[in-house]
Amino acid sequence: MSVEVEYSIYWESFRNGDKQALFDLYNSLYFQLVRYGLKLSADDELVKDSINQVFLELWEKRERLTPVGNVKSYLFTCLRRNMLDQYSYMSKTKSVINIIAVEEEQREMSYEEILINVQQDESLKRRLHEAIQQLTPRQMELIKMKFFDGLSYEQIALSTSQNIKTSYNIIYDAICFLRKTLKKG
Amino acid sequence: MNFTKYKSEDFACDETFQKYCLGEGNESTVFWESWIQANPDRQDDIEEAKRLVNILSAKQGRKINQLNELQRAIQQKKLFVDVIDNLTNESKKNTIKKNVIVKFIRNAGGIAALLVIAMGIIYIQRARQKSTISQLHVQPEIKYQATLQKKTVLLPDGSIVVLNKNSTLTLAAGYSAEFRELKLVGEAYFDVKHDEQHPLTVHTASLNVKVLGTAFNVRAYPGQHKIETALIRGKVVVTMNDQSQSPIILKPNQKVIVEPPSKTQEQPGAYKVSNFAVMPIVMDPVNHKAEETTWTRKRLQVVDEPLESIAKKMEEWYGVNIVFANDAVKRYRYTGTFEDETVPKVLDALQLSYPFKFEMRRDSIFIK
Repeated sequence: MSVEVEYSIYWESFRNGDKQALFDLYNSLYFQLVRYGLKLSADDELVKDSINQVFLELWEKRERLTPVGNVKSYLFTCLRRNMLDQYSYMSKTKSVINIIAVEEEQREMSYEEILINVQQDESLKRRLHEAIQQLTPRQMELIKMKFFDGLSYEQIALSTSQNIKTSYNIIYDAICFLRKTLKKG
Repeated sequence: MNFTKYKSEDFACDETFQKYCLGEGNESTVFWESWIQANPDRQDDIEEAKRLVNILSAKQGRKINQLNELQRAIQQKKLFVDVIDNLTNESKKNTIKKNVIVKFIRNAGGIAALLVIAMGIIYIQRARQKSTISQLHVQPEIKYQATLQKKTVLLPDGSIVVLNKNSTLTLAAGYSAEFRELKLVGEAYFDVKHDEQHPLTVHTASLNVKVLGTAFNVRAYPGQHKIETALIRGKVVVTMNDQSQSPIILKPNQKVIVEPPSKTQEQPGAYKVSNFAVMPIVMDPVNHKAEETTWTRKRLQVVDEPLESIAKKMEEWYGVNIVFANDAVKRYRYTGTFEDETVPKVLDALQLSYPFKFEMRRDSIFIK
């Protein structure tokens, strides 16, 4: 069964009042939604809050919902709209410009940008920026797959056509370096 | 696998540890939570590893915590809607009352304006509900106290608790079928409504008991040093507040006794748990029932008695108020012997032979 079919089943079930199906859908799509949201805005709290609002609203109006063809992209759209609403509500003008630019250019933030932008501590931001520049492109690619995309070592090995041990070692070395560079204080 | 030699980078690179950090996968979460509790000396490395994962995942958060928040938000929203409905209904009632008054005092203008303001407030509240979901008014704490007599209480989620003498049970603010947290001082027997998704947690001075759906007895009197948890059926997890032990999982007919190090310490909650033992429950040789729960049981024998006098006995023995909404029912006569039953079960059995309806609300039973 493809995941899209699975999402559709959850969708139909919670429309009919099965609350657990809503939570199952949430569990299946949470990280995908967070990652999508983070690419639009570096305010991680706002992203997480918007996701919960979207699901809360879906549950509230479940009886008025209709079947949708692609549940995942429907939810992405809901999230984007909810984030925009929240922004205009809070009138965080600076961020609004950022997100509007995203709407117009279809430009998403890169992993490196997101990593730095979600941090509030200026000194950490700076150290993170310097540390990232010292990592090799390969190390950076694998770190993103592991910690941002949430892939397993096995999946990483498969998609980069190397063995699991090698993928682990590349990441391990990068982590040792980052631990030293980003040390607190 | 031996994790004790792990440094922070080893933890950070461990796949199950990453899952635990992201609140994903029950197994990883349960494993690492108890490992961390059991290895407090590794706190610093663990914290550093968590921080690294958090930075590199760009603060994606813990899925399990976020889901709990959603569940709570849905619950709060429901509470809110209920409150609003009540308000609206009341203001409708007021409209009728006020209309009557209007005729007498001939001051329709002022009253109407008042009503408009009242409705306006309700509309504003409705409009605001979207943005204030997280700050909603939640049902406050509820406290049940049994002093001289034990007391039977029905909780909002359908669980039944028998409180022993000199015991207090406090339901956390917002207690509901989906949020089941309560505090116990003294002794109580719990018959918990089964719901795997929403475990019920009993907090005492030094330990917590987490249950899915089960019957168990907790003894945690403040003056007494020993704290006892006995499980009759189902499955419970006992954790210490000071995290000095990894969680203990009890099987049916087992109990755990937790003792403080010395008897000189008088402050409950402040003591360190030094000793604990898991042991089988002692069974009464005659009726094969657990001695731990003898105090909850009473043999109730009735021979051709009217329900009114049976109710009196039950009120006394089970510590519950019984209210008759219908006089005819009072005169129904019954014969029977009940052992080891909670009040709702006795009533259920009685109404089989001569039907009546009853409803339990908090610590009272209404018979119709």
